[in-house]
Amino acid sequence: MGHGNYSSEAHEALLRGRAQLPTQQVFQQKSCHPLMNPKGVRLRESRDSAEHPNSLGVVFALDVTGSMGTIPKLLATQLLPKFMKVLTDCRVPDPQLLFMAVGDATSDNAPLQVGQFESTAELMDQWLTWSFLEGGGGGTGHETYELGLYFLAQHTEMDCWVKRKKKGYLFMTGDELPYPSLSKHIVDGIIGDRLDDDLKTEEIVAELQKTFVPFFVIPDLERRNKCERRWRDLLGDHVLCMESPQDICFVTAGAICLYEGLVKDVDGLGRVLREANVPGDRLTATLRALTPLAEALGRTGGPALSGAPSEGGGLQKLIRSVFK
Amino acid sequence: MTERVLKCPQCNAPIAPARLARSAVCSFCGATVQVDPTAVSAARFREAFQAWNQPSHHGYTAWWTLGDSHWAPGQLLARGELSTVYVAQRARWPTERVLLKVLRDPDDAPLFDHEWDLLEELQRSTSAGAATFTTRLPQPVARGVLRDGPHAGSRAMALRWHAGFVHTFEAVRNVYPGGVDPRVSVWMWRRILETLSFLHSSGVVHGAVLPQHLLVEHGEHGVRLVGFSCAGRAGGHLRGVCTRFKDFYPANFLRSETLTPAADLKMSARCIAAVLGGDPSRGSVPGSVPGPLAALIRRVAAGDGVEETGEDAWTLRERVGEVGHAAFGRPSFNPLVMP
Repeated sequence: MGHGNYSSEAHEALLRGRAQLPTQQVFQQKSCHPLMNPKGVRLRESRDSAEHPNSLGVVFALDVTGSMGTIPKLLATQLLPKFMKVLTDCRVPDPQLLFMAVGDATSDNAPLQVGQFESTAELMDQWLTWSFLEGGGGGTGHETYELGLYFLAQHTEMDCWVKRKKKGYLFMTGDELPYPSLSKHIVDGIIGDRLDDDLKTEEIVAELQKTFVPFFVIPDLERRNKCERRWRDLLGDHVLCMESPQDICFVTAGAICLYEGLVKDVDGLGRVLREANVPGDRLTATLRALTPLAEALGRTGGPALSGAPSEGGGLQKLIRSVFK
Repeated sequence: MTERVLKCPQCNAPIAPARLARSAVCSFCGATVQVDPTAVSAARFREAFQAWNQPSHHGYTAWWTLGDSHWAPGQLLARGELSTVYVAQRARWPTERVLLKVLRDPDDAPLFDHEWDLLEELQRSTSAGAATFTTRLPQPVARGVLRDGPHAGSRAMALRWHAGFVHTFEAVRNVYPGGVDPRVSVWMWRRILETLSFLHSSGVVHGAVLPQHLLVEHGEHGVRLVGFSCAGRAGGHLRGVCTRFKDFYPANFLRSETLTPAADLKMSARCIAAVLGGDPSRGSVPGSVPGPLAALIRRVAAGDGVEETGEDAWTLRERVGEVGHAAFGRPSFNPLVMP
């Protein structure tokens, strides 16, 4: 997978006219698409090719339960090209995107759907819009996020890791808790693996982080309260609390650019996002969401506030002196 | 990478098939052994967790263990009334940066535990603005008894670290003994009152709005309120008094020892008087402070009209904004410069 070139013009053209459509017309699946069914899948592969010698696996694991339907719709109708533009502007060489849909295996018909790693706009868009937005969820305050994490830990292989020891990126969106453990029976039923024991969610994260840089993205501040602490216990400063679901692409692309060191600091990221025509209020909110991560990475050039004078690394020096 | 070790069914020698391999050849007897492609061993995940949770695996050389989490201590930040405060980070990847408060005297454990319980309760608040304000309060991360390090056996709590909030009002007073620019005091006071407004609407009174519990954001217009060990429900009993800052407590508050929102407002005005280089006990400020602002600080610090008129934190915040606007014009960006 991963052949073909990305074209933002093609992607914009695909999306033109979609913004006004109702969600059911953009996402027409009424059940899990057969090609996205994880049952029996051995590997989803992100591979180098002549066109893409430096592939970088990027996974969007989207919560598609009732409360989280906004993000897939936003990606499919307007935002995904912007994500790619920011990555391109920051010179991320060959991103390959895989879309996953995550629900609740205890109540949904299609609790896990998995696309393929793709490099072209058409195929990225295809897997995204083939996702079945079941809109269910258990009402238990949990979704089976850990099932998605298990699939990625066990059934993906990326050349960025195999050949270059460079981890791929995972952005899992959600507003609920993971279950404390993953039943071997659920794994058998949904994926077909015969696990010899149940797994704790922490154990799955530990295996996953060997090959992925994992992030959990909470759509807005109101929904932090239900799940932020638990996810921080697992992923610490890699939990990104957005202020609006609209920021999903800028926050995730920004996280990659910061993590890869492709922008020097938050101010540098602000410049890149401004060039990508991110509106002012969204830009400020995006930088606010990413400032804790930038600080944790030691890349913060000053106040994350548009129009404020840069401190010339003053805050960075301060933080460095504190975290000697 | 090997997934598991199998026994050769023919000669019992160990075989280590590659991950996802369909078959393996026994290096002892040459038998080809078919591997069940769907069989997955939980042991690999368990081993991954053991390694992931071991700080030395991530290159840490020193860490303190709190419950089942490991924290790499950083610089000593402050010595509070009850606890010694360090910065620390989870000795794991991805890491999490925290403030680690270590209790000094075991006799103070009830106050220490009370602070944790109250902070957790505030995180669950459903008052207006909770989504925003709960991020501006200390967020509980972990607590327990330190198992190792120089403070082994001491109670400790980890609170989420908010970068940039490192200057206490006390430090500001030391750097600016003659007082900060009055324009700076306007946003400082408004930030304090916003937080107090949320606390009060959640039914909580802080009870110790003191210079050492107020942190100013570096290069920004932010102020954070910390030190919740004396906080409690409105109408409740004041649990303790910080004797070093007696001037900041209103006299009737010390007499009644009852937590009221008005007490917080009065103490906030006294803190502002102090950073302006004035006298906290009387609420007086130097002549360089514009008259209406000086009068407002003096009035609130003394408590005139605060209880009688039912003035609350939010209406006072609005009043401070009006007075600031009249004195300095439209709001402008005036961060506090600290060396």
